[in-house]
Amino acid sequence: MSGDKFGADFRDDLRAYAAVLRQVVSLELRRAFAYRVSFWLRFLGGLFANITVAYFLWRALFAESGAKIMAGFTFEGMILYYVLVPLIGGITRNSTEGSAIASEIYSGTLTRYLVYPMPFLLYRFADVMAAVIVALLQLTIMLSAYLLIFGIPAGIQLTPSSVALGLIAALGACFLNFLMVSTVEMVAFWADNVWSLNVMLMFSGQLLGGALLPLTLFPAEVQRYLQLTPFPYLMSFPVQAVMGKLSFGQWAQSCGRMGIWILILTVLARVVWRRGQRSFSGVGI
Amino acid sequence: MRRYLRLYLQFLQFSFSRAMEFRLDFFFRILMDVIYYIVNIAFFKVLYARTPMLAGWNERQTMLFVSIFLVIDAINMTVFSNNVWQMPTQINNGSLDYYLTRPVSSLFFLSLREFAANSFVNLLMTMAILVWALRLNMELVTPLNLLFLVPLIANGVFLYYLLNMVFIIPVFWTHSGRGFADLFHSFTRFLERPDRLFTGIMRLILTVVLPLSLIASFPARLFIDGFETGLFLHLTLVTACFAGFMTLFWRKGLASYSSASS
Repeated sequence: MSGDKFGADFRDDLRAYAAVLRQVVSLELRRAFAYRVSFWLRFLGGLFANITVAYFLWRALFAESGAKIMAGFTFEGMILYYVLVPLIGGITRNSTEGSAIASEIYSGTLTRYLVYPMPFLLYRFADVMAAVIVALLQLTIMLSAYLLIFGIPAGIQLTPSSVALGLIAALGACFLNFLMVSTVEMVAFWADNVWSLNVMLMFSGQLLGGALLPLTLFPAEVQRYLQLTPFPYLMSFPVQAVMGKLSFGQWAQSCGRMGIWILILTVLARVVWRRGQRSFSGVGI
Repeated sequence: MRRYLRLYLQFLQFSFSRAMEFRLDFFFRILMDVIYYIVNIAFFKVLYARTPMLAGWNERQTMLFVSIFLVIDAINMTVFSNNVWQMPTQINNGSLDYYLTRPVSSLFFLSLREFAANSFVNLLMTMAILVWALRLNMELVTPLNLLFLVPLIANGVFLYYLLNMVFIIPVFWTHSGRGFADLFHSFTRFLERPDRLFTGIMRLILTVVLPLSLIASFPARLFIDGFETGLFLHLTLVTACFAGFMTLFWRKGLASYSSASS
């Protein structure tokens, strides 16, 4: 009897969470599209800059070195890599933008979330999911357009299943990034300003995660050490998976490593959150 | 002129005392910029492991280009960045009124009010990186060349500020949170790469229409490849045109500013 009651309560809680999450996602989507011109200009401008710089840089590099393949990429394959970086980055790194958690701590408005019937971090993750929906839409449109115009480059095994594996990896990376950013932002419980910590994380992620350069360009030893950090799972792993550059075994192994990082950071985030709450006065600064 | 200098000294004094109030943030920001420098240098180091030359420069020369770019970026971060960053908010919430009623140029006040004292430490670090890069290229270093580098860097900083402003000013009409600042941020990737990478229409855009390549690449070329009158005239003419355009654009923006309702 008590088991039935527990089950019913649990179902009620889940239903309530789902309803709140739906509401938050819907609100965030409306907010994202409030300034449509700015939103699309920012997205298309960023994409244009990323691809154009990569095109001219790698064209010069392939020409100067005389190589046909560099770090496992042909020139066309390399350009596809740089097309995918901002598109997949929209999914994996969207919580890097803004300092939502830190702002709530500084302004003292975190207090209202503490009395909400759901965990604060889950509420914040709903914000991130709204951005993921938008990013998935952008990825679908842009990647389809690119492949229709330029086709799949030689040596790239981009298939529906590689895209599916890549997207699963990207969603995992999105959660991993959320945990990393949230933990850093929660330092705001003790520090005056954590914006710079967030930017530090972003810069490090760009180089060590493969957003600036494919990680296969790094010396083998550096690549080996990088695999022990969470950074390659944020960008390089999902992009390589979409491009069909990983076998299922390699994909599963990387997912496992990413899972371990997610576990470690979940524990860390919980510890920081609990300790932070104890030192939170609620008045803001 | 003296009034403006006195005012700027007041800005400096206020900014330094405020920076010291937030000591932890002060050190975080220093560390943040150090990582930024490492990322930029490492990026080219990795590329040069694959090729001896890129865009007509060897690794040592590219390091000089990177260091010039980092110095320009650090000066911009120290002098202008915080102020330009806040401008869209000030325009949108009407706090621009305060600056318009001061007996000094509103553009001067808004652009230079906050001096980023924490970035000043980073500016010193970028100077050290520049010295390191110059030591790598000792054959290029002459007193005249060094003397000439100073106004070239100053011009780069000024042009950086002008271009940034051109992307901020539309907020007078769009009323969006950040204007086109994010778009400008995306475009800054062009100024982080040597200009000779870009050819055709893109080169025309980056050297005339949206002269991002003139910020760091042209000063580096004038230093590395030697003085070239055409290049120097191009640099000064485009900067002068953009200064005129930005001032006019700012006035247009002010004309359509309607305080808090903006």
